Amino acid sequence: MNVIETHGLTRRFGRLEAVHGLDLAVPQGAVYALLGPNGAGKSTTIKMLMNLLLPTGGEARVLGADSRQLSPRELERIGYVADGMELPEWMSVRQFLDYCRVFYPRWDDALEKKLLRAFELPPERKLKHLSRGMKMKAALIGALAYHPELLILDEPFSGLDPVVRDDFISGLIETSAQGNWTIFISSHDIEDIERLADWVGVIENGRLRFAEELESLQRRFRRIEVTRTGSNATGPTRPATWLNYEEAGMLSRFIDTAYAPQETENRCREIFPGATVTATPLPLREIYVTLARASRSQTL
Amino acid sequence: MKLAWHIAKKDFRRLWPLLALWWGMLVLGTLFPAMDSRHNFDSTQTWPWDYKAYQNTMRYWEVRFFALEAWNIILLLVIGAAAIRADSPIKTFAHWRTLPQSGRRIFGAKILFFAVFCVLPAALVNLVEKIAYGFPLAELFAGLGWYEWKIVACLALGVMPSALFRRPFLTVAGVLAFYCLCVVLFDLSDYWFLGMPNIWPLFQNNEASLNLSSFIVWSNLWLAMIVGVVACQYLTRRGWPAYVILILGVVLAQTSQGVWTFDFMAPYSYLSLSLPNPEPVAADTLQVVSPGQQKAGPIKSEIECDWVVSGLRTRQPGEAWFPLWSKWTTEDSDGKKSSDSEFSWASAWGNNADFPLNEEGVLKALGFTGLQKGKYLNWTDNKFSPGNQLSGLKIIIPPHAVPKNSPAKLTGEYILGAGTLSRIVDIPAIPSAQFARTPDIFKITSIHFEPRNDFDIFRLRKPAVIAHPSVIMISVDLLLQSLTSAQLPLAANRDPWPMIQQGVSMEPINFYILWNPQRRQTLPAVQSYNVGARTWIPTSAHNFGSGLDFVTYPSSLIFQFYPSDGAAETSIQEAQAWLADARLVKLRFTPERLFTVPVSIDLVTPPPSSATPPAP
Repeated sequence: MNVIETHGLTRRFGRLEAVHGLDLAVPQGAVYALLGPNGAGKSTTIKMLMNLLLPTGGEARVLGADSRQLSPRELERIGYVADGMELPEWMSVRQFLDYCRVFYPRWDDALEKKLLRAFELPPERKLKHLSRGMKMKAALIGALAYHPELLILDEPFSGLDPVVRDDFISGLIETSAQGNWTIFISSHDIEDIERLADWVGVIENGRLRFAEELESLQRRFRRIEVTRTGSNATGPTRPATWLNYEEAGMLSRFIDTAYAPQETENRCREIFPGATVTATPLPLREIYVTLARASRSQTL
Repeated sequence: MKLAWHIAKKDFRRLWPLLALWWGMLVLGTLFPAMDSRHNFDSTQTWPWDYKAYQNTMRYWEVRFFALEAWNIILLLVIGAAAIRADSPIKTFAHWRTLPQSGRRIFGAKILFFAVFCVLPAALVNLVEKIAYGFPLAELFAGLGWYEWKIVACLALGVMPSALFRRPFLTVAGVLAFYCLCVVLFDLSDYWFLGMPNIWPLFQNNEASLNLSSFIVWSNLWLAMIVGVVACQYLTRRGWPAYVILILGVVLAQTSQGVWTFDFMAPYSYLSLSLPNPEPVAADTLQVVSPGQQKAGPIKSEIECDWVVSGLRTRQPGEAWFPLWSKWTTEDSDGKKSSDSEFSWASAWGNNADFPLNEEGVLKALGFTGLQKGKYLNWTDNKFSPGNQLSGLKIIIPPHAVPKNSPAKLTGEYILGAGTLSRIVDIPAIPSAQFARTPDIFKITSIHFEPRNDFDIFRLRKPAVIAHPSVIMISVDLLLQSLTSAQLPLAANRDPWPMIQQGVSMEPINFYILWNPQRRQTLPAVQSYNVGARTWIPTSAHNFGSGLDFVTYPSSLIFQFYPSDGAAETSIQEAQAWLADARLVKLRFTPERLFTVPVSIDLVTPPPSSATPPAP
């Protein structure tokens, strides 16, 4: 079952099409990362999912409900934390959590206390006196303490220093591991996402370039290095799944986007007879950069 | 409800310092005039306001009272705006929108907050004050409301811009713009009929009201629109429907009549378009003739006489008054047509039971200034050359012919204290004789009326014609403290343009009288009066030619009754005895009949005496 589903989701701001025909499917229990550069349409997408913005086309369903009709019943099951979110800053952390508690029947006091301790937040300090990272932590406690079925995080790491970011992610991983939560997270900080996500979608210029399980993605992306025996450079028969192809001396290097150990090796040997083939796994960052470049040159 | 209260409490926790300050001002604003009254008013001595010391004391307190009033309103604006902005309906990052709360609940919470923390305290203070002044219980609750309504109006003023604009500085600009609009429109609306496009004289004379709540309170639809805009923002969570409501409201204001204060922007279209129930008078029964003539004929070059409209039938006997709207076209010898128009008024009276005619059997229309003076029909400046013909004269008699002694049409709103409408009573009939001057009343030289409550002032608009044709007056403001010590304030705003001798009214005319039900006597409240300014900016004393200096604060207005014949003054005790039983009654004259009468004159040629020989 998909917790989030969008079909042709579109949002225009005047002439600017911020999101174009987005088709998303976020399975239950997934940690789904929506990646994309600044201005790609990630936040707009999330705002539409949260009914903070109306789509101008298409539809989105969140927890089975039309995003335009999200009622308190659905919102009770959704946790939402966004960068730049306006919190009642005149409240102390304690007052803020007390205020939020009343709205959620499933509020877990024990979890709240535990998270407070884990995040080392001073309960009596006013939100306006907290650093940006601490504010995000407070917001996260407010979004986690009622065990949401769906946690939506919009650029949660932006502006956080590495230590706080690490704390934040650890807290998130630890907490999400306790239940079968679905996390939908948008970011352009790929390294952090890699620790967290098990699904990845890449959005660029308002269009979803691809969406795939991270494991599958990492399995099918490999950096291939071919050490040729002669001067047999590739001709026009080079497969389309080989991206970023480059040659230096006897070495050919490219990224295979459809890596299968035996098949890739056989294919290389067909093209480069007698060559030695080495395949290296790629970090998510490199996969993302490769795909971003490829999409710009429309080769993918 | 529980959650709405939870949200309202949250807003209170944030805004309590401002609220506490406002409550303090509320109490102080009530205490100051009360202290002043206690220290200075003694009914056993001669009128205390004759003494300079008293006036100075009054001024001292009034300045403070005014300062309080100003801050009171400003604080309300801030509180209203802050409460809305705490859970802004239009921000996409507003925290409440991600919580499981519906917009309906948030809107309810805001209403709850305003009701509990703003309106209720004001009502309590008002209640305690009225009890302290000895209001009878039966009339207590009826006496409440007006002041609280004003609080709501002030709150709404701050609330609407804060629901429309994302940024605080835009909210402030919106509040200021809306406030200025209110003030300007409120003032302009009084003067528009007299053709005043320039409001500067108002400010020169300190006659600009600057009373923002009055503007809104006068038109409850303003409030409805404001609340509608905010509700729409919360309920739909979208910005545009609210803007649509706003624009629609303004457009409606341009077109609907009798409801919006914007009406003043289209008075003439009101005349020509809003005649829903024309009198079934056949056009051929009407004639417009020059004096001494019974039918259309030559017109003198300079018309100095009255026009007589014959055959005009009204339903009611007695005095009637008609605003007139005349349009005419002239056609010169070359066949070139030009048209002009004038808005004027006429009064008519007669004693015939069902046909208000004069001795000649015609209803006489007076004061048709354009024709009288030849000012508009410019017969003498060669515009109307001998070869020209007056090809058409159309007189439209618009809606309000107001009978003076029509029992069925006269109702009164019985005003109790502090300008509060208590209940409406029908006044079965007021014989015209009781409008005459009652000696023991008109010999009172000066009565000082002193409100003990707030600034609520009823403004009677454009009562001049029905009240007294020779009085130049645009509005009358009244307050009343009855039952206890008969302290009554009353002021009239004078027409700032003395050259305009007559006022006109195109709306149902209200009129105030002092009514003594025991003696069955009435005193028209506009027999004589002291003109004054209304401003909430403290100002110095003014002399408007009435022979008396007075401080023009709403809380210190003087109502004068001039002895008409120089006779000896009556005793104060007599006057007080009369006033003790008196009630201030607002009369409502319902328009008798709405009708339009076109009158046509064909081919009226100027007399040969004024003819200039045509050029060869």
